[in-house]
Amino acid sequence: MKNNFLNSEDGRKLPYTVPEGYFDNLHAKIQDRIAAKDSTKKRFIPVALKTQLSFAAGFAFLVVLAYFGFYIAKPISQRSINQGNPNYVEIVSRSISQFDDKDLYNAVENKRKTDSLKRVQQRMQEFYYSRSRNCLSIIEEKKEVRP
Amino acid sequence: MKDYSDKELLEMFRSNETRSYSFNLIVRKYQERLYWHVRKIVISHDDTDDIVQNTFIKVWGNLESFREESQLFTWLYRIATNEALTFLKRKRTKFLLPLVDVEQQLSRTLESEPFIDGNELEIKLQKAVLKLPEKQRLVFNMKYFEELKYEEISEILGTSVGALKASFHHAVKKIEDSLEED
Repeated sequence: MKNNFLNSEDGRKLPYTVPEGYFDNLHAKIQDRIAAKDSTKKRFIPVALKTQLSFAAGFAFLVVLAYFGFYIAKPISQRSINQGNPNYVEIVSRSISQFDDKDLYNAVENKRKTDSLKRVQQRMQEFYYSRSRNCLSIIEEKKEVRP
Repeated sequence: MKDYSDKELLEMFRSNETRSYSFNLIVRKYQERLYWHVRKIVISHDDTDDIVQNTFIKVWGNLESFREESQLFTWLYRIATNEALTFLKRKRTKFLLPLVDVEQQLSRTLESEPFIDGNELEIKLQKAVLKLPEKQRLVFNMKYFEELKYEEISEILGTSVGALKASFHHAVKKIEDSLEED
C-alpha cells in the first residue's frame, strides 16, 4: 500500500506551501538586496581612502611634532652650529659700502686719541703714586728724628 | 512577457544596457525551481527564502564569468545546492550538533513549520527522505520530485551517472523500508 504511494502521482506532491504572493515579490527583494550591496561597495572605496588619509595625516603630524620637540629640546649653542655655514664674504661685502676711507681715518684718529688719553692718565696715576710715597717716607723720617 | 532562451538572456546580461533587465528575467524564470529545490533540503520557508536570495546575489556577482560549458539551470542548481549544504553545515557547527541531530531537527521542523500543508503520507515520505545520507537525499529529491535526468544531476553534483544510479537505487530501497516500518 505504502510502496504503491511512492509509485503513484500523489507521491510526488510536496507538503510545503509559501506565503501568498511570495513568488511575485521575490525578484524585487533580490533586486533591492543587490542594489544595497552595490551601493555599499561604491561607498566602501571613499571610506577606505578617508581612513588611509587620516592615518597619513596623523603620521605626518606626529613627525612634525617629533621634529619640533627635538629641535626645542636641543641647547641653543648646538642649534646655531646646525644653521649651516653663513657666507661671511657676502656679509662683509654688504656692510663695506657703509664704511669708506674717511670713516677709517676717523676711526684710527679716535683710536689714537683714546690711546694717548689712556697713556696720560696712566702717567698721572704713576706720578701721584710716587709723590705720595715720597711724602710718606719724609713723614716717617721726621718721626724718627724727634725724640 | 516574451520567453527568452538562456542563451539570449546571457547575451543580454553581457550588455550594460540590458544587464539588470536580463538578470530580472533570469530570477523570474528560475526562482520557483530553485526555491523548491532548496526547500526540500532545509525544510523551513524562512531559511529557504534567505538561501534563494543569497544564491541569486552570488549569481549576480559571478554570471559574467559563466563560460556556458554547462547549462545555465544546472549552474544555478549547483550554487543553490552549495548554499543550502553550507547553511546546514553552519547550523551543525554553530550548535555543535552531530549529523543525525540536524536531520532530527529538520524532521521536527516538518511538524512545527507554519507553511506545511500535506497529508500524513506526504509528511511520512518527507521524514523518510530526511533519514537518508546527504548525497542520497539530494539525488532522490532531484530524480524523484524534480524528474531531472541523470546527466543533469551529474553536472550539478559532479558525480558520475553510474554512481548516481546506484545512489538513487539505495535511496528508494531505504525509503520503501522506512515506509513499510511505519
